[in-house]
Amino acid sequence: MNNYQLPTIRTLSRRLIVLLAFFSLTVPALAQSPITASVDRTTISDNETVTLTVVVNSQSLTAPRPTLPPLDGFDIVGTSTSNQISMVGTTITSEGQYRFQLRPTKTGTLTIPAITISLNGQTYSTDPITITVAQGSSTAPPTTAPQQSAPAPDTLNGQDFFVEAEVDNPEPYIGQQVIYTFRFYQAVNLFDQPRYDAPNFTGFWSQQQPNQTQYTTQAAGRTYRVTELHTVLFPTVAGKTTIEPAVLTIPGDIFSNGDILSTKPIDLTVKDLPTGAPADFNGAVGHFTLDAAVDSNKATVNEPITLKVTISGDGNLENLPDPTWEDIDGWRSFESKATTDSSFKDGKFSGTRVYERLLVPTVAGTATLPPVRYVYFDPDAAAYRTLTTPPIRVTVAAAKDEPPIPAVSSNGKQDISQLATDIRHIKAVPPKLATAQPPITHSAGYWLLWLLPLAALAGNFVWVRRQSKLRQNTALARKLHARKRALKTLAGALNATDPYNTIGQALTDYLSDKLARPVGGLTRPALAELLTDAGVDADTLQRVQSVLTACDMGRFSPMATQAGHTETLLSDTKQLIDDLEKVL
Amino acid sequence: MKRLFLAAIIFILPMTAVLAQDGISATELFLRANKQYEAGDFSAAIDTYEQLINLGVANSTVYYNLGNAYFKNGDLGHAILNYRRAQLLSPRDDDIRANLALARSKTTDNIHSNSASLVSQLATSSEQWFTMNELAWGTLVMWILLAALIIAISWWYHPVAQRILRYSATIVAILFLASAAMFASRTITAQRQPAAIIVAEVVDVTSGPGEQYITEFTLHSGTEVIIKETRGKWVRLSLPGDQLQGWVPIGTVEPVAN
Repeated sequence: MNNYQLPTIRTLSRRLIVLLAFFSLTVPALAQSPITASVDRTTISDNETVTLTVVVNSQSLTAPRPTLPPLDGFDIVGTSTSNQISMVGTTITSEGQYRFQLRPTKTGTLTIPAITISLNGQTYSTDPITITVAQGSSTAPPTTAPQQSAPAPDTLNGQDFFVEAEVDNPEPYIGQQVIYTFRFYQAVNLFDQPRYDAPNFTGFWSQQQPNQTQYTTQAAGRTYRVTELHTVLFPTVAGKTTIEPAVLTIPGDIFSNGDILSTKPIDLTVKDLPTGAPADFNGAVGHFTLDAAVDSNKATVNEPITLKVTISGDGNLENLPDPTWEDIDGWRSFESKATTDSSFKDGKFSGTRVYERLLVPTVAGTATLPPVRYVYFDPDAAAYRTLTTPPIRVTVAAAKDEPPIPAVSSNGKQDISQLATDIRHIKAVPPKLATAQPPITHSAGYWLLWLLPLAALAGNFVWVRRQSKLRQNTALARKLHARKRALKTLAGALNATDPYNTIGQALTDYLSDKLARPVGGLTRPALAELLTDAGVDADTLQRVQSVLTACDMGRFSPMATQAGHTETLLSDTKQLIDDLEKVL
Repeated sequence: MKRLFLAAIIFILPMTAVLAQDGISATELFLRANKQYEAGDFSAAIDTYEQLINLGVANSTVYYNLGNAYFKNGDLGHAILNYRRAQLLSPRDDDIRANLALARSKTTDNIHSNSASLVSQLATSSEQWFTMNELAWGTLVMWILLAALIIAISWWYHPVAQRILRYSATIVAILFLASAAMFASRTITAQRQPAAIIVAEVVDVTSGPGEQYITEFTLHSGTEVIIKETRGKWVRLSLPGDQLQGWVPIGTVEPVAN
């Protein structure tokens, strides 16, 4: 095999693509620029805003964000971004939309300069945009102010949004199905869901269908996405009636004002049902078929079989009047719940209503279940019609020796029903039979026990009183003997090992006794405050402080004291105590 | 002190009755009554239960079963009377409550008891929860506890201890007051407004103690009344709330407490 291969068409085309790609990258002017800028309008008034949309396409997961040049004459009042990623083959492209809401700060012709972006080493830029800002009111078409219901435009002629409502039959009979259709046309995308407020539908039984129909349509050169909402209505009152406008609120965002759209009211004439209704007509209007079946044609006495009656068609199935059930000889019948299955399909609301009845045969033999009749009004033919099911034959076998089965509901359980109320039964003989005792309140011992806490409280009270009095008396005694005790201590001070300490202690004890509280641990300012409160004047207070200071000094630095200082301090202290005695 | 404590123990302990009559114990008599009841011989059962009570047996079950026998015999007045007596002994018994409620629902007279005084309302509702002895003991225990806490507060100065003691004392004081209120209301009611039940089928209530007085209204079996006074062979009664009152012959009405 030769290693050299001629380039095939495929490899050649691949090379061409690479070359083209290279070309498009290097010569951006030839290819579509990855960045474009646009504004929603070019003429605004100075009290309006303009939306600048910058779209950046790139082959990365997130498009790079463009840097906005300094804008002369505009304030940026809002920004929003959205990024859309798409994959074609193995190529990922992302489109970033950057929206800036700009408010002009001056009038005249303003320019949004070129916006540049750096992509794969290349710089791309947009064209500058010129915007004319006019004074005062807008020269642009006025937008609808929010919270103001705009009159509905008659036709779809190129608006951004349009709503309309219609009914499929403006002249229905009472109870006849009417489909109310609301359509919302939108030519632009919305960021938020609009809110739909249905009319009241006064005079109708209404059921809004949850499914929305969506399609697109062309009008006035624009493509509209149409959302259809259907409401099934059944008139309940005859006469002329009006369906009020439906309102669609489009929420405003920072780029657009909101809008409130409403449909035109719809006039209907509800016709009364014609006279001459059969006796067993109960008000069913629509088109129906009737079917009846039993779950088994072989039954046993006292064992229930199920008769299933199905009414299908279009009409107010949820509120359909029940067929009249006739008593069947030899059978007991039990009402069971009816189920409705309805849906909105092809512009019609139709479905089935199924009645399940439990029938319990009471006699053996061959029985015939009588036909079920159902009368309804056909609005199309404007006539009453009667449906009848064929009779059903059932063979009933004799009962087995079992008690009759009561009516059972679907889960096989039965509600407890109290048949009678009786007193609760007598009790068994208790193990112990006590003889009657006189009540405890008749015994003196019980009342004596009451006195016990009273006595304890009284004793406690006396004891607490005595203790506190004793404490008070001690304080008084100490106060009275304070001077005597101080002088006695001072008398021995000169002979003591530490005379300064003794003098200081004597004064501290004296003050403690006088003030009825220990003052040894108090700071000087606290002591001064206490003495001032006790009525000691400033001069005496000063002397107390100096004696205590001298004692402290003498105690801690005996070398600094002079001879004879102790004696002076002693006599000063004695004099001070005498002076204090007059006040304290 | 020790003797008092012993006395207290003796009061709460129920005494076992050892009774004998014709060689039959109280338990055997009770069994016989229950058998008679179950055989449907309610009159005989009533006699036997009454015999037991006359022997001095004080048990809520006897009164409850007797009430049932009267109920089955169609005597609503005696049924309610005995259910009430049973409830005095076992106030929290669900069966007694149920049967009493059922029996009351079958009485003829419509009595509006909401106009009764506060004291008697409190007494009536406490009857469904506590026996008189329970209230007596409960109030006493709360009182002792309260005194102990007060003494502790005056001696134990620790701030945390003080707080705990004060909170406990408040709670105990509230319980004491509640218990004492019920106790007092029951004592007052028992003394001044003893409850009674009309046991006669129908009784005319006259304006005075005698046949010659005019009939003011009529009461039917099972109606609960209050006895005001007894004079000779006549009893003066009133309906709850004192709306109506009058005289009835003794024997047509039975006091609940016997």
